[in-house]
Amino acid sequence: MSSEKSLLALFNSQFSPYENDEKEMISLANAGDINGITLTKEDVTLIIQTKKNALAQTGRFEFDKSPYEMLLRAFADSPYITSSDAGTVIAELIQIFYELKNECDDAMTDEELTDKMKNTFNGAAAGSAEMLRDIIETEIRQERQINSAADSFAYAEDEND
Amino acid sequence: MKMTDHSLYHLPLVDESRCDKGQFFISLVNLGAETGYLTDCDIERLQCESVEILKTLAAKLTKEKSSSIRNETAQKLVSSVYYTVGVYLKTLSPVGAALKEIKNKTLSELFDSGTKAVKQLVSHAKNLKTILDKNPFKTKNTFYSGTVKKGLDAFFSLYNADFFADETHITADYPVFVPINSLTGIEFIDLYIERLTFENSFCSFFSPDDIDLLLTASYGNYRDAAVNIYSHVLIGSLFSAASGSSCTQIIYPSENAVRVISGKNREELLRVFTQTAKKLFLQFDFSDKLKEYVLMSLPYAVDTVINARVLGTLNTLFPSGAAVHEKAPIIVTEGEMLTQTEYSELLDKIDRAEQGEERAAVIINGVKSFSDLFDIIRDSQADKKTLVCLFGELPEYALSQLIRQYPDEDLLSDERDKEIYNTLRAFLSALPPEKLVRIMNGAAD
Repeated sequence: MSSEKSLLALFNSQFSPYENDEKEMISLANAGDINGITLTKEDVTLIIQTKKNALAQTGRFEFDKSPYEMLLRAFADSPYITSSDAGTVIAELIQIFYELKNECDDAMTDEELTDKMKNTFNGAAAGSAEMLRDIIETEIRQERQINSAADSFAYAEDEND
Repeated sequence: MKMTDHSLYHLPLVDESRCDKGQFFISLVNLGAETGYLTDCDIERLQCESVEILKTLAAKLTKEKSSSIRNETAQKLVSSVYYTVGVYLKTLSPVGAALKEIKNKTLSELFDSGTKAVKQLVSHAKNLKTILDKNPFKTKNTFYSGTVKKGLDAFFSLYNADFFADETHITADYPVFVPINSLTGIEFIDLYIERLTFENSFCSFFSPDDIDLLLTASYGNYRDAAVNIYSHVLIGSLFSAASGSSCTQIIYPSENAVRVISGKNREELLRVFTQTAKKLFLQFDFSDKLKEYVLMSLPYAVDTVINARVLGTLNTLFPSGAAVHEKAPIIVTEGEMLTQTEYSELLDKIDRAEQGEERAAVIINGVKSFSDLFDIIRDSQADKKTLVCLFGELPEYALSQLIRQYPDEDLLSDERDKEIYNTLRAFLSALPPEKLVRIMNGAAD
């Protein structure tokens, strides 16, 4: 019965803190205004469902409190988000959040990535989640290329020594 | 009155042969579940506890700055936890005691004990590596040097016992003779270094020149060959000892080897090897653990010989006399003698060279036979400095031949011979004792 794979499957299906997340999200929604944004029950359901799907799609394993609140608080005061579209946008940002975590190989912490997403969203992406993803992905890839070139150079230097 | 350990009666019976050494904890849990010793409740408890440990480790890994990790990373952490627990459980005997421990202790307690056991193994392996570094086996084989000098150091700098204890990181390209199956991580490295240390220790009882000659004759340029050096030395010494030759000899003629193994099956050959190993134990001051390793190696040595016989590659274990002579790096007994003209030219060349290293190099490069070597040493008027340089360049077997040539001062009447004798004696007295013993044994053979 017991194997490492079945253990992980069990963790994902039974021990994931989704239920707690839902409670937390509902309490956030019930708290009313978050920097001028109010979430409906439908928003909460959409966000939670999107996060579940995003974790599965990106092959990620959640072991701690979801970054809902962090994202909500970061984006709530964005001039590009209103209460009417907050649920959809936050859900979209959650999906992008996990994709970018993979893209950067977990090099960025949750907070660093949230800050970067917020700055890009409010700046160069001008409120477009799609553009936000493209801009940050490109930056991460460029940085990776630079690091890879630097590593190759350092390796060549070591070999010459 | 003999005390009975009643606690043993309460241990579950486990078929140890069904335990997977590589996945010890998982295989034990499966066996426990199969036999009914571990109930569904136990399994569920272990799973819940695994999840808690996983959450703690993931938080530590990300320094509590992330809420998620990749599934692959989570999988690796779980594997590491189970590996670590397994390392601890393997220290318990019998296996039933390990299963009892799984039932009675929390996974967190087992993991803590495992972490201590893994750290002890790391410390043990590092100590062995220090010993290995202090007693290096000099060889031009790049697989050996690459693994020992670079590979093992890379392992210790990459190894992360806290999160990825089961990862080995390096490939350890140099093969040890007794293979290490199914182990990974520090368990593999610890055993690998231990076996390497035994093999080094065994080879240190034999002349490095002879080992080099044996491998060169067997493989030509063995520099880039993935060969286990110890196996060749062991098999060579076993055959020499079995045929009544000196145990220090490792170059055994292939023609004779064919006669020794002819008509013998695996069991008979193993019996011969086991008897012969006892001769080696009498001859050499092996530690008890080294003796154990040699005995453990014998079935593999038998298989190596039998495989070589089947594949027609016995010449890689027992090079023919011709191959030994052809590949000999400097001088051999039956080497080609110089003609009168060549000899005179060489003497002129020696005269023109500076006394010391230069003159010694001209002699070494100019002669191919012992006969010419002995003559040229007398005729060249090489001074003491040149003679010492020359002796320092000669392989051990050539020094043994020189001792035979100059056994006792009382037997010498010529002043030049006495000078050579005294210089040789002074040179030998400055050698490390173990090297001197090998040379003297070689002279006595």
